Amino acid sequence: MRGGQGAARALVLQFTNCRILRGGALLREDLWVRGGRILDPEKLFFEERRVADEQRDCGGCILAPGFIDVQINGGFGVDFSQATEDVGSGVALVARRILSHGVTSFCPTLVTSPPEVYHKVLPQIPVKSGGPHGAGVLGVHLEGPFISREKRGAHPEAHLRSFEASAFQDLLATYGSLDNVRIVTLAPELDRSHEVIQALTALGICVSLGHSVADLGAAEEAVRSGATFITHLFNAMLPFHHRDPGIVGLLTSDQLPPGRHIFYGMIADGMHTNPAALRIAYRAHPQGLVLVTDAVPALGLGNGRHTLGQQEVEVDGLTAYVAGTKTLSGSIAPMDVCVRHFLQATGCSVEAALEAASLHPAQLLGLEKHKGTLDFGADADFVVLDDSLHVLATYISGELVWQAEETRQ
Amino acid sequence: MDEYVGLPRNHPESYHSYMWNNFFKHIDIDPSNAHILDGNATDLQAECDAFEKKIKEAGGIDLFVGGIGPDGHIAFNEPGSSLVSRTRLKTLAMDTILANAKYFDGDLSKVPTMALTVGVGTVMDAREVMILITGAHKAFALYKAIEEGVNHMWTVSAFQQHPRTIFVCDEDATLELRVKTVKYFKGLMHVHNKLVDPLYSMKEGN
Repeated sequence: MRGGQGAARALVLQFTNCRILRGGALLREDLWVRGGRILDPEKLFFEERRVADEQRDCGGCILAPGFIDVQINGGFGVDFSQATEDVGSGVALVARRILSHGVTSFCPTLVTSPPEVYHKVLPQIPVKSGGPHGAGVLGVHLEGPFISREKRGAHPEAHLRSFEASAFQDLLATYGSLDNVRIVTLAPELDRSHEVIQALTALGICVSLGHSVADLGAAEEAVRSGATFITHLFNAMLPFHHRDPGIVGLLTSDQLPPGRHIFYGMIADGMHTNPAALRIAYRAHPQGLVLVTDAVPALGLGNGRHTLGQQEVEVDGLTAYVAGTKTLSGSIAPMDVCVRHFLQATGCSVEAALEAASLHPAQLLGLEKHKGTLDFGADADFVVLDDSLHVLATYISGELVWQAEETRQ
Repeated sequence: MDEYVGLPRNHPESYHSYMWNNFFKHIDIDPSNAHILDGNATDLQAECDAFEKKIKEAGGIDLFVGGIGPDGHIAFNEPGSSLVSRTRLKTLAMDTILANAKYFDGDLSKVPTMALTVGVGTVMDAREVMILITGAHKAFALYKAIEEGVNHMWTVSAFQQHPRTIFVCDEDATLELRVKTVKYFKGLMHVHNKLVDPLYSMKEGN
């Protein structure tokens, strides 16, 4: 339980001998935690006249806000889009296993599915705080079915839909309930998308543009209606063209509402985007880049052949292929691998790489007061990293929830 | 020794912030042993009186450590302060406000104009006083403090009448002093070394 009356009597933890990410910089500062939240030690000193109850030496490591993955389709053999009787167990398994990747909050993602699947699965994935049991569930990301036929990628054609008949009512009927939904990816060129985008935005749901053949004008209109995200930039959209940059043009558009900028997801696994393209996007609009894994059920499975639902998948290192072919079968790079690859490919600062996986997704979801930051009052969800950004330990609400083997006593 | 009036305690330029960031957070002091004047107290004079009382209750100040302003002030005892003053509310001199402006984005309207400060008398009661003075911009104040008379326009000069005060300076701070004065004090190093030498030979002899 965080905060509340009991918090003042809770133990004060002081993490020493570390560098913390705060205000966009790595500072040589101690991190203080109480009642599951980051504590202001100066206030504690002058107002309460208290010292720490426990000090933990972090061996000179980096302490960064826990990573937030807003697009992950499953992992460790679990497929979030599969309608089973016990979806909860699958989500819990993934939630627990991604702690070792430094992820402390995530959005389980469902790909294009028939209404029956949404009606069965969605009620089984409630928003849930993280803890020793696993990373927190921030809400579901629904990628489809209101997407472009031409740009459906691996989404099943049979289940694509449009909402030209009754706009938002169509969407609601398809999904059943939006209670546990956090993000919806749709194609704005679909008829009546603007009504739908406005309705979703009014409900506090983040609208993302993706799997679309929209031109820049349509994309800008969608942003003015409330869209704030682009799903895996470059993939499943029209390529950048100098006379019509398409959705990619949102990164430098001057037609967006004042004071707002677009966020965009990127899969930095070294496979799905050429590093040069990653750099172009990053240099054009560094503040909007959100690292996502877009991981598939093969994530975390060892090398070799695996049967996942109807698919045979061959895992070889960081790549998953449709068995017996050279066709990519989704991403399987864990979030911390994406962060390291992003750092190396763009040559950006360590601070920027860490913010792309924590602060930016938090800002996208309007959670930046509590998540994705080590500011005073924020939830104490953080990771301990070495200088090459390998995850050594993961904390949620100030509690150790995962630790690398070598660091265990 | 002092704090601005009306500045929030957690403002980056408050003395609470300064002391926390530069001293308290690096050591294991018991917070109840750290006393800083509260510039936001409802009754400022009562706050000052209470501070004097706390000093007395702690058995007096053993060591007072401070610097000086370019106008020769000690703490915020601006030119014209009584040399027997106690902890009280002071209006800051223009020199001080100008010197502080750089910490408030160069905006004079943002700089506090009043502060609570220990008095000259309060510091004179300390058993030992150490004043740290560095930089050429403090040189004239240092000259006024030690080569001219005791004068309330240069309040740090009051320590000429303290039994145990040491002024620690760098070369630049001595630029306005007589060569003779500087040579005398530098010459004391020779005496100091002679005094400590026997200690070293005693150690080696063991």
